[in-house]
Amino acid sequence: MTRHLGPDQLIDLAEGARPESSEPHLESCQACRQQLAGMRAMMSAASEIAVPEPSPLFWDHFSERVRQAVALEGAPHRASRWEQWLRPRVVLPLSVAALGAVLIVAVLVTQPDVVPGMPEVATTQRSQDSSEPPAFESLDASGDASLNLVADLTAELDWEAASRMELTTHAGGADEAVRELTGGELRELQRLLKEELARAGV
Amino acid sequence: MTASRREAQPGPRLASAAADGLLTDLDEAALVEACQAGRAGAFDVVVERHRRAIYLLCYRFVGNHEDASDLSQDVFLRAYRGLSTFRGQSSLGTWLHRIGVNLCLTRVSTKKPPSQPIDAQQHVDTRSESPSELVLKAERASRVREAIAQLPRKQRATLILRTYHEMSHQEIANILGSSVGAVKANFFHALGNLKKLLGDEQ
Repeated sequence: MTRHLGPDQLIDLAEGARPESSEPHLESCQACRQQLAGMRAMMSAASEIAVPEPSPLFWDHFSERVRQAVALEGAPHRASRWEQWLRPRVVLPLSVAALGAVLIVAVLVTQPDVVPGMPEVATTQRSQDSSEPPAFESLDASGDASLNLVADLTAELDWEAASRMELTTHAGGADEAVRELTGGELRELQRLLKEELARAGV
Repeated sequence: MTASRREAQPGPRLASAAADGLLTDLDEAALVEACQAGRAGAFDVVVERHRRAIYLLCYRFVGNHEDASDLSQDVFLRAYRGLSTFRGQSSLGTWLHRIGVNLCLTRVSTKKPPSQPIDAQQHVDTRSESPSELVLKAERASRVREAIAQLPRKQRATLILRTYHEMSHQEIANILGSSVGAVKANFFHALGNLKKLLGDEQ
């Protein structure tokens, strides 16, 4: 059985964090060498993409725009002593518990799709015991229209206001939670959203 | 990018610097305290110190100056609103990057970034390259940029922060709210998917 290098090891080698000599397997495995070469080529291709530097005048203009926007906001909201005491003791635990409950329901609903003992996404810690180097995740995880609808809806929410009303833990929390879902959980969320959209006649 | 922050009582540095009006000389912790205390001009200094990094981050996600500028302004506005909740558990830069990544991922989820016009490559030293080489280079850059835009969200964010902002795996983990192992796995899959998307052209 060939023991291929795992993602963690390949990343360390590709970034030069460790020398190739630290992985003797590399010398005898063409598949891992090819994968490493491919990763380095992509790092090089990506690093060549530069951003045009804005005009020096832009920065003054930008700062002025922010200053005006901030002036319209008024003084920053300062949490009272009561709020400071209450938030870590009551609000955050309740929020975390609520999120946990949602995730547990999602996991339970999608349980039949998961084979026990087989993680859906490979971890980075183990080496590969198969005859192939580690495979890559698919690209279609975020392309569903119903998930995009969630992103659009959450984008328009005033997260700071919601936070002040103690409806969420922090800005961007909901979309973070959605991004943390596994493939099975995402599929279930998609199914539920589609059902709701169909029911609403959208 | 980790930094601790003094709590509650303003230190002597803040008191003297604030009295002298030398906001630009304040260290990060004192500057945050000045902002939270509502000291005029303190937030301007925050913007001045971080505006370029945040703009470049946003540009990497949206691929054009106008949207990057608007998003950057929004990042600072959200930071201003949320300053009262900033506890200094990460550096101000990491916190601002986190707001930026969340905002960018939410806003650009359904949008395909426009291709950068070739004449926007003002930063590139073109003196040693022929016009045809420049065109080819610009086309290749455009394909790489479009491929990066098609990556799943966390893979894209990881690749951007690692490749262009030269952040450590730990810093990226702090920004994305994940582990170092997950960051390496995301980077590994990002490079693999980039290779798939670009095919044999690289």
